[in-house]
Amino acid sequence: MSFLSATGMTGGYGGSDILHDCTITVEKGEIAVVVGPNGAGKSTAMKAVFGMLNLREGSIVLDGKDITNLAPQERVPEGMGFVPQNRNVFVSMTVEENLDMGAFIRKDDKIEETKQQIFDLFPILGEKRNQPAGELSGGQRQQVAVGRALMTQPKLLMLDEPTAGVSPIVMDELFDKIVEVARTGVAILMVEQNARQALEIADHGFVLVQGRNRFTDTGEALLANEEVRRSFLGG
Amino acid sequence: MEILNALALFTNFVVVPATAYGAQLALGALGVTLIFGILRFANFAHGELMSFGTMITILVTWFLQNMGVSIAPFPTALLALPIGVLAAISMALVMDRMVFRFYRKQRSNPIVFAIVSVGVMFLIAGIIRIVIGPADQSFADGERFIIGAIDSRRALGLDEGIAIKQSQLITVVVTAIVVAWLFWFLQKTRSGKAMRAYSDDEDLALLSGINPERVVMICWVIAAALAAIAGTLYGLDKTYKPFIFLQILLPIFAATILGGIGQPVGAILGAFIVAFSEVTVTYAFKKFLTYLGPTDWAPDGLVQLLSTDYKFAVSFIILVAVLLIRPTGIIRGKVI
Repeated sequence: MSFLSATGMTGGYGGSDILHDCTITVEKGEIAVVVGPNGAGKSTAMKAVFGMLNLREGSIVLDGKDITNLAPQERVPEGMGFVPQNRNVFVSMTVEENLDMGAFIRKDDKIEETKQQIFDLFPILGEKRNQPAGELSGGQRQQVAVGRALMTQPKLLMLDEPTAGVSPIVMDELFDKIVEVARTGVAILMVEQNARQALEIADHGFVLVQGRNRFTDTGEALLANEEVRRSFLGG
Repeated sequence: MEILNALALFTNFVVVPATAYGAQLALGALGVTLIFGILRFANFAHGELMSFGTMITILVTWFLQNMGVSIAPFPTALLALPIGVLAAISMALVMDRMVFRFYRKQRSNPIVFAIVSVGVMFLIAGIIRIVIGPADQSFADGERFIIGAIDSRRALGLDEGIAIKQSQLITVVVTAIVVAWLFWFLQKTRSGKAMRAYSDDEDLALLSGINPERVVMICWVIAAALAAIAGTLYGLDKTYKPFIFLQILLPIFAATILGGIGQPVGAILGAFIVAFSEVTVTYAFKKFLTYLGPTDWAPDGLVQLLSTDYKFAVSFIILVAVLLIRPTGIIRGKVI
């Protein structure tokens, strides 16, 4: 069994189902990317993994523990870190306070150490530690958001379109950082609009169409797949 | 000399009382703004919460006075205040547990919360009428003046003196201490940061593992403590009138909105602007202008812009003006 296995997820926000027997798995230290056309249920699938959706069927197992029935906030101590797409930083608080809030649930005394690691990973955050997060640029905000999630020391880091609204250069930079985080042994699950670039760094890719798994393979294989390229990567 | 006399007169009748009044309003407005920041509704019961805390303080003060306990020259009420604070906190927590929590679970609209708080307001007002009655109560003892009018006249060598009541000085000192503590708490402590985070973004706070019920509880504790202190200081400075706490909601809300809802610094700023406006507009400038004008000249009327009976109209005008011109308030707060 994979480190995270979300299998057979079926459900929606109430009305009709958005996900149909959707399965997503991630291994430790690997990057899994969910791609697909608009409205394919990519973000919904990620929210389902985090428990923000009522699943009618399916189960979610993290590190051998069934967490299907836990509320989102109860999944954080279990090792899930979630970076929402929008409103993912405390705008009125400083960069450092944002990181402190990430460490809110931790009881150990190694918090400063983690903070230093995050400043090493994102040097700009160290420079701007006393500036309100609301005053930062889009790319810098995303770094704060990822940093805040990393402060909980998650075993699985989930990113909902981390590169939405940032420039191509910043996007490459962010992807580099995400690879670095994965190398430390964290499992990463990411939903991406920029499918081609995301698949290039992905170990595994899940192509969703209308809430169903359409293609599942390694990132490399998906990029090489003629049909995937034609239909989803623009040629 | 004439200018100095005019300034002394102005200080005595406007600056000193408005500062004390502003400090009392600030404590009230801070409570309202905290509740709005965390629970996201306008708490109409806040005035009666002030009244309730004050009432308990008065009852304990009377008890202490009967027992012969005194901390003269300070008012006995200061000794009784901690009990009043505890009583107000208990009342707030009981009301939250019995009333507001139900609507929080339902995820009710803020307007529902506001209307519910009106109900709580009437309930607490009723309890107060039953326990202490509707009449005015005086409970101030100890030294009345720090600096008397005659002494200060002699010291300054002027015709006009600047009298400072002990209650006014206590008000300003206590407010300064409480506000300093509050800002330290919000900026530096774990719980304070959690409150700010929750106020900033509820969902993200939840993702960070912040327990919303705990944040709400701390918020009530602080708001109720501020309310009891504000009410007692107000009662010491004037007298305790149960009916005034419905009217005082208006300047408190005006101060909160003027400063920017959910912004503690704004609440303090707003409170002093409202207080100074109210006192200045209702002050009769006749004597002041007599000093400044030519010798042997005096204005015909009182030169009072508004009768003191209408002082709450000042808050109302400020409130309307802010909502029309700058609904976010001085320091950009939430818009209701």
